[in-house]
Amino acid sequence: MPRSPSRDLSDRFTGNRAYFHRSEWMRRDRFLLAAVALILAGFWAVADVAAPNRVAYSFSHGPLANPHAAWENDCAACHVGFSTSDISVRSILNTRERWQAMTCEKCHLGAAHNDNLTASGREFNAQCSNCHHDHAGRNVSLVQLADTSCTHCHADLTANQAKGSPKCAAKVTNFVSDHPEFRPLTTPPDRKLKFSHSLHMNPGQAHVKGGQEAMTVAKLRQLAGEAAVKRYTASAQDSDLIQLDCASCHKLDSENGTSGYDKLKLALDAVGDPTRSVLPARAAGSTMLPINFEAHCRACHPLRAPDGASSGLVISGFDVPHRKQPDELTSEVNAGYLRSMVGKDLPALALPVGPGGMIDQPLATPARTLRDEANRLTSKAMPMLTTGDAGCAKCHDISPPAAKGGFAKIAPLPNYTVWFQAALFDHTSHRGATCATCHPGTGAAYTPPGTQLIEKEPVQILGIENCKACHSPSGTKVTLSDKTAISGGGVRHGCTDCHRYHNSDHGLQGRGAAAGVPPKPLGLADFLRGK
Amino acid sequence: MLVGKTRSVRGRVAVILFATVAITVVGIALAAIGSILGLWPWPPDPSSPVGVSLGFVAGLIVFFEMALLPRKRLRGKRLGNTRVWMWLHLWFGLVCLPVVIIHSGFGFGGPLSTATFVLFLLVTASGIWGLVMQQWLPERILAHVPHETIASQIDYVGEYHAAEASRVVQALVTAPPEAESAEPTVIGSQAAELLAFLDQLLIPYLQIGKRSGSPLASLTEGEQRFTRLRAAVPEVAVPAVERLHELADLRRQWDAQARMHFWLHNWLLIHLPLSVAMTTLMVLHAVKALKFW
Repeated sequence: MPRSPSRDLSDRFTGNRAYFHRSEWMRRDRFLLAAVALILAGFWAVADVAAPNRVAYSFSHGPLANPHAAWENDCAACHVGFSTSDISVRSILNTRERWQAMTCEKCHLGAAHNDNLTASGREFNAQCSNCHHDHAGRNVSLVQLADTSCTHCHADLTANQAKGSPKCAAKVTNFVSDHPEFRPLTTPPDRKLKFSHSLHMNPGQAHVKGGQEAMTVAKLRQLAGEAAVKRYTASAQDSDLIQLDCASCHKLDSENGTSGYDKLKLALDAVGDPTRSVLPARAAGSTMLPINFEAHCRACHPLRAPDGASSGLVISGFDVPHRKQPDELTSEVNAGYLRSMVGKDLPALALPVGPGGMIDQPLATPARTLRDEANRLTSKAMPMLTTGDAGCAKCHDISPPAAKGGFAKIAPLPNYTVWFQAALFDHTSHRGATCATCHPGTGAAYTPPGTQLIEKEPVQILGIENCKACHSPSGTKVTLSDKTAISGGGVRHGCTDCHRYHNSDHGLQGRGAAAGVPPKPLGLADFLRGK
Repeated sequence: MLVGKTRSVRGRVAVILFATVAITVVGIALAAIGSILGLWPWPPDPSSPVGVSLGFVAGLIVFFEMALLPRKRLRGKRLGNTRVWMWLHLWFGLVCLPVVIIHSGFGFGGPLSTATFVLFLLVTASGIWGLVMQQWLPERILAHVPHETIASQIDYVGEYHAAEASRVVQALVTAPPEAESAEPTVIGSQAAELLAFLDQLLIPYLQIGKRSGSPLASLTEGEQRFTRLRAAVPEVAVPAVERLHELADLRRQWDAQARMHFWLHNWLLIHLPLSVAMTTLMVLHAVKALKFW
């Protein structure tokens, strides 16, 4: 029988026929490596179980911002705890929402921004982390947010509002393209105060050059004393005109501890005004300190009851307080005259009361009492103090008495220390530019003959285009109010550069406002534990 | 064929690469369309409902892919058609790529998810590489190794052939006892040369192949050496030298086979261990993600 060729092939394995039972190196190494991989991955799991803090940290997206650094390794300080009993299909599929359930309100009182929202809007608002993204590094701001945090609603406020029409612009997507003009410019408020910046910036605050009414050093000294002179001018010549500048009245800081502060304090002390109540120790520097009569007006515009005459005696006038309605002022003036008359031997009061005869000279009707005399002097002084040229009406709107014998009413001044009621503006950050850069019409200007002084000035801030000159993407075409076309400066222009969502840090509320104080402030130990 | 009916290697490789890219692009495009329709944000958040759902889908696919391992260990149980298993392994593996990418939200996340994601990409890449090799090298082996043997037994068969070569040469240089003539077929310097060839070049080469450093590993060098050897031995010994030449040629084929076999299967040295590591980390990732996220 011939030998089959395939026998040669099988003969090769004589004595080695069970070779396939033995592992071949590539197969063996494959499983060996797989075992090594399994062990290494197992080590990872063991390490995670052994060091849960490390796991928690590894699951964070990054270091917490500086204000939260103390809770870097304590997730439960901010995040609501989650246990196995909370596991459900819904909780698993909505892990993001679960992890975003936080307890920010323990330390931060997030006042309502706008409750008039649709359900989805409310849901979005309820999650602090929808806007405030932590775990992005120590130096990342938690309040400088992407515009999308705001445009989530403001890009179409009508659609996101539950009822009614929006109280602000219905569509704003960014500062440059569709942000509306500042509200004080589109709906100018009634300032209820007569004041001309240009007049006060003139030399001597005169209407015309060389005007006799110009305020000189001598006049100021006579009106308010040496302290006021030192405050407003370095000049020693009596005939020199008083020249004001913006900083004469508008300050970002009381400069407590400086000579400037001391001069103002002396000026206020001289008339007995409460220094500390009108001069804060330190201000944030974002907005100008409030202008008030005592600190900024009284030196040149003293509010004083006139001298009176009674039976040939002079009853001295006296300073009267500011911020009084005519009815209150009447009592103050009356009391002032009484004080001035006490101790004076007034003939009017000394005349005997008795019958007169036809042969007698007619006598002036004597005052029956000191009160009657004070009332007389008061009734004579009050018109001068209220409606007179140096009285309330010089600056304030006054409505006539409602009834005969009643009192006129001074319109209270609205608070326009801060023009931007919904936005933040930091004057300190803009000190490199002159005031006139943004506040037109505040420079010196005489009143031309035949023209009327503008007593109630419009809102003297430039519009949004002026801001865009710097705050817009680099290269953006910007047309200024004087029609000058320039290229945008590239300075930041995000929503949160001017706006804050929460009322605790708002145009009209500083960071320290009560609206931001948490309901239950914690002790240090609990605070650090995030309890 | 698992990747199409084209008979061209180039065509099948193109199908694999195209399918990989197409499935990924289509998957991402579908996710983008869903986002445009307002079904989910873009990019999808890994912890959003759609992100978590995709994570579960990816996990299920990975578990199915890994089931191929016990399937192979239990091949005697006949757990379904092998071809179907491989087909599903391959295509589910490709579908898993966009699923995982979308689940990741186009990011890496923390250390664990990063490690898992990177391992997944390496596993996918090694799988695709292996699939390409599987399309190309079998045909190449068929064409270039007509006398293919069992790859793992090449060295053993080499030893067998070395013994045969030794017997052949000994028969030439020694006189068999039953021979009428006392003279061997090859004598003198020719015998010495033949023995030297056997001991120094042929035997080592047949035993361990190219690793021996023998010049016979080179086809050209081998041809020259055997040509010289044929000329050096008597005419009667030429058939024996031809057999030696044949054995050397076989070893050269098997060297080539061993090389191609290595490339045909070496991707599994990466694919399997990394798959095991990735699956383990994936489970850990899922547990921790659901706990911490």
